[in-house]
Amino acid sequence: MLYIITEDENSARDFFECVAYTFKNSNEFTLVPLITKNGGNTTLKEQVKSVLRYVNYGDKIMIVFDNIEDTTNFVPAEFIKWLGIKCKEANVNYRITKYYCFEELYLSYDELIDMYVHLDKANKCVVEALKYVHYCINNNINYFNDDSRIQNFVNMRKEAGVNREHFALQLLIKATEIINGYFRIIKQTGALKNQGKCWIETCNDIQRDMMNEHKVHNICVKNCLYCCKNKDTKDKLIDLNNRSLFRKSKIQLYQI
Amino acid sequence: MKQCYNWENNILDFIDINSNRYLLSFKGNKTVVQGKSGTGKTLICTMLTNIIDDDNVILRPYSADNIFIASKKDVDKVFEQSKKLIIIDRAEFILNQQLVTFINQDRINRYLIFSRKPIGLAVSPNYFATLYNNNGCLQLNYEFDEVGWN
Repeated sequence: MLYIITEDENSARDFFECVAYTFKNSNEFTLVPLITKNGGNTTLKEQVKSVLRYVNYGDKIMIVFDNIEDTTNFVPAEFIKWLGIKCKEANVNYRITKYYCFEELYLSYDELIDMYVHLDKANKCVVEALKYVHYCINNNINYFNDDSRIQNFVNMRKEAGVNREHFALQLLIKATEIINGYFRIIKQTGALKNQGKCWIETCNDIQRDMMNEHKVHNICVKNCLYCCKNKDTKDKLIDLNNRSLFRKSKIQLYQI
Repeated sequence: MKQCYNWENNILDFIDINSNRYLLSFKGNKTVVQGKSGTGKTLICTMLTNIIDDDNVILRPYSADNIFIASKKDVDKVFEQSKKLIIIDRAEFILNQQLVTFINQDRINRYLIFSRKPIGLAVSPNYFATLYNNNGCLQLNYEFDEVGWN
């Protein structure tokens, strides 16, 4: 059994729920219920404790971070060390997401750049920042530095200057908001199931549930730039896996 | 004159008056050092302060021009620094929220922060370290080095 633990109800939870449903049987995984409605990284320990009460030998616990940075009341390094000890005692394995923040998964995706640069309304500053960030993430470099491409984007979006996670979020919002279809990724509950569903849901399902014939023709047939156009969830996730930071990961998406 | 801190390779390397060597190799722009008392955190600051305060410009073996050691008295000068390695000892007592916010936004300077409590410095586990003595040479030990967390 794979126990998936997330910080809250945001995009990372939706994403890994989708991955589990796609690559595992429903009796092979459990999305661990949140302790509180708002969640937060300080609830991770309680979630792990609740799972450890009924795990069996060979089970796996997967910790899905929104963001691996420390805060005033949570130090991921200490949590991970604690997790390692507890899992060893319980004879279970554990995995932790190997991205800095969830947004970087899509910022590292080759397809996002390919789509954005071909848009008529593409902004030069966003293109430059996107290319630089994409390169850095895929080459294990911290992009939140004094590079002019980062500074130019911060000048354009002040909120991006707060820290690296804010930067990633603002860049992802800017890069996805003008793509035709449901490609918008924002940090909000249900975003990947609504505004951003074209990244993970089967095209036929989206067209059937959310679009009329006119919309399908104008958005999907005429204007969709996505390489996984007309594909299903599995193909979309595999393409993301093969063309994003996951390509160098020891554990691929379909292996969770 | 040799610089204690080499900006290009991101290494702090000097020998003090007692022939103890300090060789701290940083991985990024912010390094948080935790650990018990007596592991050398304050010693590093004291020895660097001696170098900075040494008026004998000709005879002193090191320059520490690109280092700023923030103390409780002058911590507000952190806002004025540019392209410096800023070292803050006992950060949990010195830094307020305004300074933490500034540090998290700062992409010009680099930081070595000694703190025993979490203060929200927005770094991944890859940048948390402890000090250890390797045959008279004080070095950093990083517990995590995960691709994706850099």
